[in-house]
Amino acid sequence: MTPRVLTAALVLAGVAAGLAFPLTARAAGIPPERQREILRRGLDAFDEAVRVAQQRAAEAEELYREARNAFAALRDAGVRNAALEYNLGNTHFRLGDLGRAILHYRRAERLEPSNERVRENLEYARRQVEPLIEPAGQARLWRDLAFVHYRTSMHGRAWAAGGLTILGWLLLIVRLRWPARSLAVAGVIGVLLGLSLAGSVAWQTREEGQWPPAVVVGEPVVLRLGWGEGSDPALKQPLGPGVELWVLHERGGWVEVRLPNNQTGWLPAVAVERV
Amino acid sequence: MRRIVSGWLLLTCLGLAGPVALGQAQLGLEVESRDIYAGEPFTVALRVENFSSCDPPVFPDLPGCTVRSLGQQESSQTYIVNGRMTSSTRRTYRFELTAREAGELVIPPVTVSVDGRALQTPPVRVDVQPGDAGELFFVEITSDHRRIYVGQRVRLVLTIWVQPVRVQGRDISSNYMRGQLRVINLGPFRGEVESATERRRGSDGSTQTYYTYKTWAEFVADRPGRLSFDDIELGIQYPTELSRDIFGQLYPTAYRNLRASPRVGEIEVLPLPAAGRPANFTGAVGTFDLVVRASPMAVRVGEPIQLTIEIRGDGPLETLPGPNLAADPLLNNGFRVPAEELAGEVVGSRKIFTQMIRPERPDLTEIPSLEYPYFDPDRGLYLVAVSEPIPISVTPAPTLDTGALAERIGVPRDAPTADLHVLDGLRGNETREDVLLRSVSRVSLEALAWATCTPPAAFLLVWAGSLYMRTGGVTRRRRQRALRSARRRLDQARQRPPREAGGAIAAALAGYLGERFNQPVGRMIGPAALDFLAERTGAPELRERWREVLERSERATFGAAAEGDTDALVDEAQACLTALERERI
Repeated sequence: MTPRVLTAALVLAGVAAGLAFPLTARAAGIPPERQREILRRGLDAFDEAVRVAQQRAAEAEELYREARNAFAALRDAGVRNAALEYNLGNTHFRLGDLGRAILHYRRAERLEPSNERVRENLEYARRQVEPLIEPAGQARLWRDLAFVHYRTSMHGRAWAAGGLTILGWLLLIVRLRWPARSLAVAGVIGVLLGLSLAGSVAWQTREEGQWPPAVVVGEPVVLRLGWGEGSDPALKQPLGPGVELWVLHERGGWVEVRLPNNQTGWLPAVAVERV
Repeated sequence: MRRIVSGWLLLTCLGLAGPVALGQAQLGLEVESRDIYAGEPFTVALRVENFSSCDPPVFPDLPGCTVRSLGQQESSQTYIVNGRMTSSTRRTYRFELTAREAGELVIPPVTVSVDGRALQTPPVRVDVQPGDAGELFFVEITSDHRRIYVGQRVRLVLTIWVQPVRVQGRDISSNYMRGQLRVINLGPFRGEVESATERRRGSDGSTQTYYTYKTWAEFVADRPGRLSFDDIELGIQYPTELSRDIFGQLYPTAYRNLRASPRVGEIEVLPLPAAGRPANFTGAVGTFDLVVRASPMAVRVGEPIQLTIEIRGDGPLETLPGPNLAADPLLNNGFRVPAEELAGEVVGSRKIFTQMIRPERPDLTEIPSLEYPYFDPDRGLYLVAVSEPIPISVTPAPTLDTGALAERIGVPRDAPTADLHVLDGLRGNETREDVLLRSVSRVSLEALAWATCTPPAAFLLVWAGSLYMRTGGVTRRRRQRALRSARRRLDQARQRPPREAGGAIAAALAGYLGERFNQPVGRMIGPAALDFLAERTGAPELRERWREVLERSERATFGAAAEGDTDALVDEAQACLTALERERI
């Protein structure tokens, strides 16, 4: 390898390292030892709640709350991963808070879409939601076609985008010294794949910024045709906790939302929580 | 034929109330038509001028005449005469009047409150002539059915009949007459228009040719009684005089504004009979089939099953109601069924409804047959479409209370996995500390932009560098052009006199060596060049030839060469260059 190519490779490796830093670690607000202590307390409380649930339901509920508070404290301290969100979802589910259970499962799914346990519990929780709202056919088809976009985490796609782009360009640089066709093809494919994934990440960021996904939490709430309690109901049946939707915009303590079947309407802002 | 004047003809007075003076409010009534026929609308204009405020007029009721307001228009004018500015405002209220009978029609005084004063128009007499509009232009609605039921879908045909105008003994074209039609309200009729020519017996018994324009609509009656379409109205500017323009195209110079509402044939809408009506009848009229599918077919108690109910038939699918599942006793015995009405989706010739039901007991083995009662209008009977029962498998599931979880703790480790799923469908917590405490930051678009934009910049830099290297830089370029440059200079030397040619040849050779070996040309002149060659090449013959060429060149410079020697000397110099090029130095 010529010195120039070597230099270029080092530059790209530096870029990769620079990219890796913001994509991976971010220091949590509390020391690691304290984090472990809180985590153990939460896990122990959850296990204890399961153990005493049949005999002492009130005590079990209190323990579930303790577990939830511990997991939530870690989350508030900056620990952000699918496993913690998943545990929070389980804890809310045990507490009978279906809306927030689905909210945390959705957050976990967003961070790690390939996690089987997250997907199964989310599906299980979704089956308890009333009413069940089927997504519109077009939306389902689009999700199937763009499966990489919808079934991989944004984090993973960002990593792959950066890695593939750098690798692709590196191959193209090497190809300047050794003009092999295979290097050019592999390089171009790498760059194109990387740019596609980068586009997917940018698109999702824009989409979630524009119409953030959200979940109905708390008590069942009536979807209305306009904002305010005086507006006519848009649906006969109230939306129970756990109904998933997108927030279109907010006005005067109310949010306009779109349901998976493309029905739109207004809900009190306090009744929904953004994923 | 009567001519319609291009401007509006003032038929009757500008009935001015009170003295007319500049700046004083005025009120007038105009009938804006000359020829008025029974059954044909004409326009009356009520004008108020020079006013500040004016209340909207109330047009008096006229016996035997319908009155319709057409709205108002307002205009302002400003005059400056001898430096004095005068403004006036005019407002016109228009009314459309249609006299039902021929004879004299008296429009009584109309009172309007203008600038706080009540102004009044004088009465106006209008001569209404007998109308023949019904013979010239009329509309009919017909159907294949004489009797239909509420909710039944039928095809109705709307036919517009227009008697063609004759010009120079020939009927004007159907397309031209169609172009004169004005649609005011066509109601549900939206189908393609078919034109034809038909003959029809008139009221006086004579046979008359008509142009017909037919369109159609799928209609569902919503109330019993005689079918009527009072809201449908069409008009035509029926030409009474025609001329040709300079291009030979016909244009009307006079016409009548005819209007027509449809005459509906003898079609009676019957109510659905009460006798034999099933309790769960939801209003479907037509003939229908019912197909029901369920998914999933193996569930636990409380889990949803999606029923897809597909109804095919010839009834009005858009308004077709779904089955009343909440009132189905068989389905409600064992399944939780939402009470809300189903919203279906029309797909081709089917309407598809979906509903979620949840089994309430584990002993259920099938979703029972669903019923969809409908009224068959052809038979005049209530019938019921029945679906096939759907076998399902329902397994018990615990309620989602915390007490059920303790049972899970008590389950032995070697118990089948399926039992665990039966107890609780929720998978357990993640307990690995390293996984739970690992932190994933939010994706930074800036970092991603860096990752995608920096590598191409690096590539460009390397590419530019390698391109520069490939072209060799200054040294290589100098070396590459050495031979070409020297040969050009030698060729130029051939054209020169022998004295000058010798110097030019020596300079070309020195230049070649300087450029080829990236040395100053001054170091390659004369013996210095031979020394350099001795250092760099191992070919004494080449040095000898080079020396010889240099000496001959020097001799030529001092006039010791003949005219023809220059070419030979140049050839020899070229040969030296070629030989030196072949040398690997």
